[in-house]
Amino acid sequence: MPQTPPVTFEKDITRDLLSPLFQTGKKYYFMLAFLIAVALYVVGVWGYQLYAGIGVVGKNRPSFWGFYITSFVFWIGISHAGTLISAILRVVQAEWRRPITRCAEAITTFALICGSLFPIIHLGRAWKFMWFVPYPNSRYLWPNFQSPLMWDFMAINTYLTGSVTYLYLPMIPDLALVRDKSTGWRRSVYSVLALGWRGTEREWLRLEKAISIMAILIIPVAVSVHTIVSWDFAMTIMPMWHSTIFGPYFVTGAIFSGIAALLLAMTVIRKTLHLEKYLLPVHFDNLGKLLLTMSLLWFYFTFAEYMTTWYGNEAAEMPVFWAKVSGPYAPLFWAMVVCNFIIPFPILAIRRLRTIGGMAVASLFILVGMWLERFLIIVPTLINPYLPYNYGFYRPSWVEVSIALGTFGIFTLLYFLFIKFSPIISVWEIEEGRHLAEAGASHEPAVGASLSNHVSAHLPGNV
Amino acid sequence: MSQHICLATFDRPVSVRAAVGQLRAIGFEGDQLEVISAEPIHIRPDTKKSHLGTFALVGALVGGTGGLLLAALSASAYPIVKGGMPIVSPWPVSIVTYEATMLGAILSTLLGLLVELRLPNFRRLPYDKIVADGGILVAVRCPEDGKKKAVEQAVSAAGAKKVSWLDG
Repeated sequence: MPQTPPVTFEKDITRDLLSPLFQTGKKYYFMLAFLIAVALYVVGVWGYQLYAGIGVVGKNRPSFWGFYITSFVFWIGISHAGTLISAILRVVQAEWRRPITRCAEAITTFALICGSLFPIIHLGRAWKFMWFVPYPNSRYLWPNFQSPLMWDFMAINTYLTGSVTYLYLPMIPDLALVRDKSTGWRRSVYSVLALGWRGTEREWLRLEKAISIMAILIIPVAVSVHTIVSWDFAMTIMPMWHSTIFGPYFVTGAIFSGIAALLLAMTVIRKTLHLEKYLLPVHFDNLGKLLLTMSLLWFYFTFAEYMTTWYGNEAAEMPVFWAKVSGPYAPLFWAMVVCNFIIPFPILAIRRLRTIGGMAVASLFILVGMWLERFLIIVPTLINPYLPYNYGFYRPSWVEVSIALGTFGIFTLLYFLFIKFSPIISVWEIEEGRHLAEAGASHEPAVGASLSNHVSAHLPGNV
Repeated sequence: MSQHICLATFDRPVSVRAAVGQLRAIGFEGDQLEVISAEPIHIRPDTKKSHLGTFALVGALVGGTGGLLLAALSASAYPIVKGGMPIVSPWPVSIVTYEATMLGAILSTLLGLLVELRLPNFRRLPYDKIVADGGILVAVRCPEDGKKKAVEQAVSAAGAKKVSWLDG
């Protein structure tokens, strides 16, 4: 009996996942134009700040850190979505990771880019940033490595390098796929990016080994990054900053907000790119359970942090505590608790509510809540220093608000461009999962299994 | 000496496995055979030892040493006491050393991969774009004209959908 070659469905997978690269609708261009306008607005506002001076922002004595550093900590936290989660799932060989990893890794890279902008913007005289870079300059002034800000520089650079590498390595086979499907200038560009990849057995074995090593290396780097960001605060002796649990507290918050960002991105990608066949409810459900765990952990750390402060009743710390709990920052504080725990907890805990839409709503609240959390860690402490005659107030200016909000547009723009540059779901990993499912090696309800059923339905006679 | 390369296209891994088995039976081994696919299918065990782990380790050592020297020597080059800490204080130095160690390991793993696979490589090597459509290629380097027929028979018997020859 003549058999239809099984390549039929493989073309389906490739076509589905590559179609966003080759087909562009009007909506995309409209959205792209809007996002470019947002990015240009941010650049313009920053240009205005550079021209007019740092005085145009709301930072002033005693609060020299405000929206910029809040956004910096927030975005570095979001960056924990991807590489860390993807690496953990790879190390434990979780089959359901396959459609998720690239969406997640891209979030890391772009969130790190957005986050890294803020210390430079915050400097005011952005060109002074070069003093961070350790090189023998004309005055032989070397950076002060005893400052936690230099640890930030080292950690974020390491994490960004690692994340870009970790994003790029699994992309090589898919870039080769796009190369083979392209013509003209696009083919030339992808030929260079694919490095001449052919997909020999040796290439696959080495690539898989390199990805495994990278996954193991990137986990401690990711943990160290947010720990070091927390030490920017904890290494000072400011009230409610000098805390031993700040490292794990920040890392937990980072993973918490990171998973929320990932879930939200996956929801949007699934809907707009019509990837319902690949991003299955089970993937959302698994991430939702992880988000629930992180919500509980976040609540535990917050409770421990605040209860310890209240119990200690130290004269310097209590004004900060009361400023948050019942003072001028109380509305933000309770909004944070509502956004990070009161709303997400039931949505994520009750199975009936843990739908894709429900989780997207919970994620949105968590992102707002985590931004507020970063703000509430930074500002109330700075405006309530040890000496009461130094007390002050911080109100952001339109410049800070514009730039802080605008980076969401820049992040979305980068993601939008990435969707046009690379398949947002790894084609080869999905195919590998399908082969494993066919071989009976996978016993999990992974996408491979699901697709395997789909294949069977398309083929005359089971594979 | 001219070399003939047979490119046999298959549609499923099981046929490739059969073809590789038959080709090995008629004397084709190691680098004479290449299986090319759009996803990992692992037909043969890895016979060549990978040195990626060594690359990562050496990179970590180099990075760590560099980080240690950078933090310690730059503090010594500008010896100002800060916060009552020693000029070369162990905590900051260890943090910088740690990050530099990881950076070294990451970069050297990438370098190791490129070195082991000899990438980037833009030379014309046996390949067919059918791989992008889900086809699996078996490239057989055949040094003797006399074996061409045996190769064709082996791949055809295993279920090759298409067989072509490249002369290199």
